[in-house]
Order: sequence, then C-alpha cells, then structure tokens
Amino acid sequence: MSESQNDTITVGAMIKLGLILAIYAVISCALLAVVNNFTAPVIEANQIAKANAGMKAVFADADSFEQVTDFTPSTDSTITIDKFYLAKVGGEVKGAVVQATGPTYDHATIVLGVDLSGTVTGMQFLALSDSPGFGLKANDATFKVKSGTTFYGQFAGKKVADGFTAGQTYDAVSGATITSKGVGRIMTMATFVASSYLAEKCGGVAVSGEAPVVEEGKLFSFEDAVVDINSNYKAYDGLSVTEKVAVDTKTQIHSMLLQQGALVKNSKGEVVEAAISVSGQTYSDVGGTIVVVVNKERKIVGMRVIALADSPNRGQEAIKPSFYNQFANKSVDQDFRGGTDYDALSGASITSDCIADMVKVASYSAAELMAQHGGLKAPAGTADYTLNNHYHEE
Amino acid sequence: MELLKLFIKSMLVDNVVLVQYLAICPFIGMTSETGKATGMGIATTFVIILAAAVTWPLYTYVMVPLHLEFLQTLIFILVIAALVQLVEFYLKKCVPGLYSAMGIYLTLITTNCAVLGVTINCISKNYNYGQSLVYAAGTALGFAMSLVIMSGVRKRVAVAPIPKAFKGTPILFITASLLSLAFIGFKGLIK
Amino acid sequence: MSNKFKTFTNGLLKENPLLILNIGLCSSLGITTNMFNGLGMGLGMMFVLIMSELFISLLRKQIPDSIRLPVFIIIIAAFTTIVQLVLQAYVPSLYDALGVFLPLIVVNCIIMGRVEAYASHNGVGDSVLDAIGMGLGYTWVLLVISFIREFFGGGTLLAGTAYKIEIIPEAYRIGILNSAPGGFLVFGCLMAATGSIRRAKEAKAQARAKEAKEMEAAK
Repeated sequence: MSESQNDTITVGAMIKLGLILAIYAVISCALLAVVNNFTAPVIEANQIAKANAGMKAVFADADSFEQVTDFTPSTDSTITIDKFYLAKVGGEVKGAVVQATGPTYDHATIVLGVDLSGTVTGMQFLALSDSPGFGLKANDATFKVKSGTTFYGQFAGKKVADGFTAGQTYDAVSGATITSKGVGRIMTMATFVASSYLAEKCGGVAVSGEAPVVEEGKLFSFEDAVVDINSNYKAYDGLSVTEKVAVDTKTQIHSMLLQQGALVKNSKGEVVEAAISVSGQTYSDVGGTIVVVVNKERKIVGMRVIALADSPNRGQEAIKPSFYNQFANKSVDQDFRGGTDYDALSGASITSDCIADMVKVASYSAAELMAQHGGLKAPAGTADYTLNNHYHEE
Repeated sequence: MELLKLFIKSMLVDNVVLVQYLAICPFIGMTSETGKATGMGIATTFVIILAAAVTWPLYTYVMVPLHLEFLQTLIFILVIAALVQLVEFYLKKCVPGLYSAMGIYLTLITTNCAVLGVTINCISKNYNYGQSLVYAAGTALGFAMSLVIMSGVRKRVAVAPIPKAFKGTPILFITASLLSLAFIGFKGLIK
Repeated sequence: MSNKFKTFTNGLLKENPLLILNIGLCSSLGITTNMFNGLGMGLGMMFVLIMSELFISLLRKQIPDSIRLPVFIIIIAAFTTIVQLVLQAYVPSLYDALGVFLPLIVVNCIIMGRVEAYASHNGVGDSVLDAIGMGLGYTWVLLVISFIREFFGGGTLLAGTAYKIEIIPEAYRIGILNSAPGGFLVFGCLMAATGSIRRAKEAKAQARAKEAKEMEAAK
C-alpha cells in the first residue's frame, strides 16, 4: 500500500474504508443481537422476580401479582399511594399489596399486604430516612419492640378494623414517637385504600368507617379565624369583623411585621374585641403568620394559624387545636415561655417558641388597639416584654 | 435552582476523578505541567459536553424505540470516537498551534473513562436532556479543576523530600488520596 | 517454548499493567471494595482482553491501517457488551456491584494498549498468551487491593457471596479504606512496595552482573 495516506485519500478509498468499517460494525451488532436474544428474557425474569420478592416478603402466600391503577387515591395530601398490586394465589385474588409514602420524622416508604379478611399479612420499609439510633430503629432487624418482634414485623396478623394507634394497637419505638405515629398514619391510609378496593371489587370484608380523618388542623383566613375563635363564646352573639383597621405593616416589632388588624363589634355596635395578625420567622425559611383575638380585659380569646409551612408531624402540628388552644384565656401581659407557659410541640421546639413569640407580639398589639376603643390600658412595665427569641435580633 | 444544585453536586461532591475514580489515567499522566493539564482539561470538557448532547437524544429517540438498548456501549463509544475525530479535524484546521501542542493526548480522550462514564450515567440516572447537559458540564469542569489542582501540587511534590520507595508515581497516589479526602468534605454541601 | 513462557509471565510481573505500566487504573480503584467484586472485574476484563486480542490478531491482516482504531473499538465494545449481558442475566449481584465500571471495560487502557501494541503485530497464539498474562497480572493486583480494603476496611472476607465471614469487629475497622481516599492510599502504597522490591531485585541483579564481569576480568 502506498505511504501517502494522510490528507489525500481518494473518495473511492474512503468509501471502501467506510464499507469495511460498516461490515465489522454489522457483524458485531449481529453477534450482540444473538447474545441479547438469549440473555434478555433471563434479565427480564430476574427483574420481575426481584419486584415480586419484595412483595412476597409481605404477602408470602401469593405466587403472582397484578398491578392495578383504579384504586381510590389517598385522602391525605401528605401520604401517597405509590403502587397497588393484587396478590393472587393460582390466579385467584387473595389480597392486595400496597406501597405508600408519607411523612414520619423525615419520611418513609412502606409496603404492606392485606388479605380479603381484613388482616395485615406483613409490612416492610422500602425506605426510611429518620434519625439513626432513634426513628431508624423501626427498620432495624435486630431491634425488638415490646411484643418481642421487630417494629415492622409486629403488624402481620393485625386486623385493619382495629386501627393503628401507637401504644395501643401497636408498639411504638421508644424515643421515636413521631416516627412510630407517622408510620401508623401511613398504615391507616394504606390499609383503608387496600381494604376498600378489595371490598368493592374482590369480595373482601366490608370496610367500617370513613376514610381516615385527615389532620384536624387547618390554616385559616383572617376573617374565618376570628369567627372560629369566637365560635365557643355565647356571650358574643352576632359578632362581626366589621371594621378593618389599618396597621403599620412596615415597622418591625421584634423582627416581626403586623399584617392586618380589625375591630370586632357585637350586635349593639360596641367594640368588644380586637384582632391582629403578625408574620414572623419559624423553623422553615418562609416563616408563618398567625392571628390573635384579644378582649377588653387584656385576655387572649384565641389564636389561629393563617400560614405555616414547617415540617409535617413536627412544626406543622402547630395548626392543630391541641397546640393553639393553649393560648386561649391567657393574659396578654404574661410571658409565653416554652415549657413553663405552654407545652412545646414534640420535636419542634423552635417552631413552638417562634409561634409563641408571635402570639405575644400580636396579642400585645391587639391589646393596644383595643385600648384605643375602650379596653384596659397596658399596666406599667409590660411594654418591655421578653421573648423566646430563637433567632437573634439585629 | 435544582439545576444549579446538580451542577455543583457533579463538580464537587461527586467529583469524577477524586470521588468516582474515573479518568485516573490522564490525571496521573497529564498533570506534570499545568499547561498540559489545562489544555487537556479544556479539550475534555468540550468533548464530554458534546458527547452528552449527542448520545442522550440518540439513546432516547432512536435506540429505545428500536429496542437497541443492548448496543449502548458499542454505539456510545463509537459516537465518542467520532466526536474526538471531529474535534481533531476542527483543531487541525482552525487552531493548528493547539493541535500540535496536544499531539497524541487528543486521541487519548476517546479512552477517557470520564467521557463514556458521563454518557452512560446520564441514561442510568434517568436525567432529562437539560439535566444531562448540566451534569456533563459540572463533571467536565470538576475533571478540569482536579487536573489543574494536581498539576499545581505536583510542582511542590517535585521538590519535596520523598522517601525513595514513593518517588515517582506512588507519591502521586498518596497525594490524590489527600485531595480526595478534601473533596469528601463537600459531601454535606448538597443533600 | 521458553519464549512463550516469557510472553505469558510478562504481564504478571515485569510489565504488570497496573503497577508498572500504570494503565487501566480507573476500574482498579473503583470496585475493589471487596474481593468478590475485584475477582469479578478481573475475570470480566480478562475475558474481553483475551477475546479481543484473539480476534484482532486473527484479523490483523484484514484491518486497514487507517481505520484500525474504530475497528478495535467495535470489537472490544462487542465483547464488553457480551460480558455485560451475561452478567446481568446470570450474576445480577455482580452486575449491580460493578455498576458503571462494567461498560467502562471498553475504554480500559490495558485492552486498547495491548491490542494496539501487541495483537495487531503478532500471531494468535502469542497474543492469547499475552492476554492471559496481562489479565492475570491485572487480576492479582485487583485481588490484593480488594483484600486489603475489604479486610481492614470492611472487616469481612468474601462479602458479596454467600460465604461472607465477618472477622474484624466494627469498632476496629478502618472505614476510610472503603472510600475513595483509602483506595488511592492503598494503591500508592502497593506501588511503592512493589517498586522498591523490584528496584532491590534489579540492584541485586546488577550487582551480580557486575561481580560476574569483574570475575571474568580477573580471570
């Protein structure tokens, strides 16, 4: 062959080279296609077996699984039903396997099996991202709960109808109440979805009760909050948020900002309460907004949360009555210190203290507003109040 | 925002050389001078991004519908080889100075584990096109960065008193081990 | 025959691809966290190397010089894919453990290097011997590295197989050996160790040769 190959290759020679290359390529691809023919079915069977193995771990009797998508979705926005399979023995449906994800201390993905008689056949964690040594023990094969099994192993044999209440119908992990409760909540939703589907379409036992109650807490608008706060007070019939009052939304009070203000009048037109909403920092970056209603005697009538986006199962629990009702009937001029004046949310002391601070600022401002309309004036020395102050003021 | 996180993650937290162990050959072989290291880094960056840009759509829109996934290794490496050839042609024509300076190193980019590794990872991690490009860019810059760092360290190592057994390449690995340790410090940066 | 033997042992020690020639390093650090993986990778790579050198040596007169690199790539990639498919089907645990390093066998400098330097110029028999030698040389180094990393870092032996034995309790394991810095460290030390052994041997051989020469001269 001649030496001068470098830049001056003729078109003919290039085509020849290209053809030779193509021949090698085609032969190789053909060889690979042949090998692929043999290995592809094996690979696919492996993958199905792997997926099935995960499901057989929670439904040992089944020999095949069929995925369905027409189940009723979760009624709780924080819990998702990821996958739903019918578990079959010899072609007959014997139960269902459900994979669900929801919040625990962080979050968890579980897979559980329910049979036609409404009994849980098994539960396992596919993912659990809680704290090692605490919540993560729930997924530890060597950790045993009170009944002597692993945390996830205790659910086999439990009846769905009994419900899942930590400490009552199942054992919690000591030192990890939030994780244990969170798992219970996910299981309640998952078993409800599974049993309703089985009852409806496969002759399973009927499901008692309604869909699991979503968290009793909710966020309120300013107006709804005032109404809700007063809904327990018969003394104030015919109350209305009749007069919105302009508040200084620009000046920071202890790093918080006033948002809205209003006077609440009774049916006789007398101002009986004042309401102020305040925004401040909480645990999450976006912070929160609360509203406090105060009466003439410098007493907090009640408090509600307007906006909050903290961690589910922890800071976000502040929207529930069990937390906010702690502030009702307290004096505006007292301190609100965590542990002494109110119980902080378990696992969420920062959120609790931040909200308590917002309650103090809001109630004090509301009392000032009230004082301009016939309410009691602030006692001496109360203007200089101290807060929990989780975040340093500038 | 997510893309920025991905970029930083692929450049620092999952640094292709110091954490993922890819592309070690050029890391050891090409870092005796900072000029060489930089040139190699830049050329490889170009090839990696180009390779990801070409192989992702090729896989997603041609190979998957035709059930040719099993040809992934073969087709990807051929695409990379072709791209490197193209880059060589282009450099020879337009920037001949750089071409002659790089010499054989340009061809060696074809066998650079990082290039093929990136293209395969984009598929196996189920990234979409945008994410693939960002991942490729981050990885490539991480590669270039570690090359340059290593070349700088090597200059110091060259004049340091090193036990006889370690002189030459072994001390470079010990150095790489320390660099890798430093990069592991980035682990908490992006969750 | 001794020539053939030399070809074979070349790859084991004298021109050991990892320790002496410093090629094919990527996979050697990436997957040597336990011996099962190390062995698996070594054998996989050896298969590709042997088959590639075999076929390329067979076809060496049929491959036009200007397109030899793409053709080499095609052949090597084909065999790499075969290993990938077979492992995925029949040893999925190894397939998962090797991860992205399995397809990266195709760009393993050892294979490319040997194919280019040896198989394209030598007969089939020699090429295969060279391949086996290089493959074994690669594999034994992998095994040593993965033994050190697995034993001292993970405290187990034969992890990944059904015969896993836990030897060193958790508190005494050197965790860092399991991760990237440890890998580099082990490899660097191994290189230093083998390098100094080699140098010592060479020095001895040289000294002996010098002695022999002196004795010759004295005669």
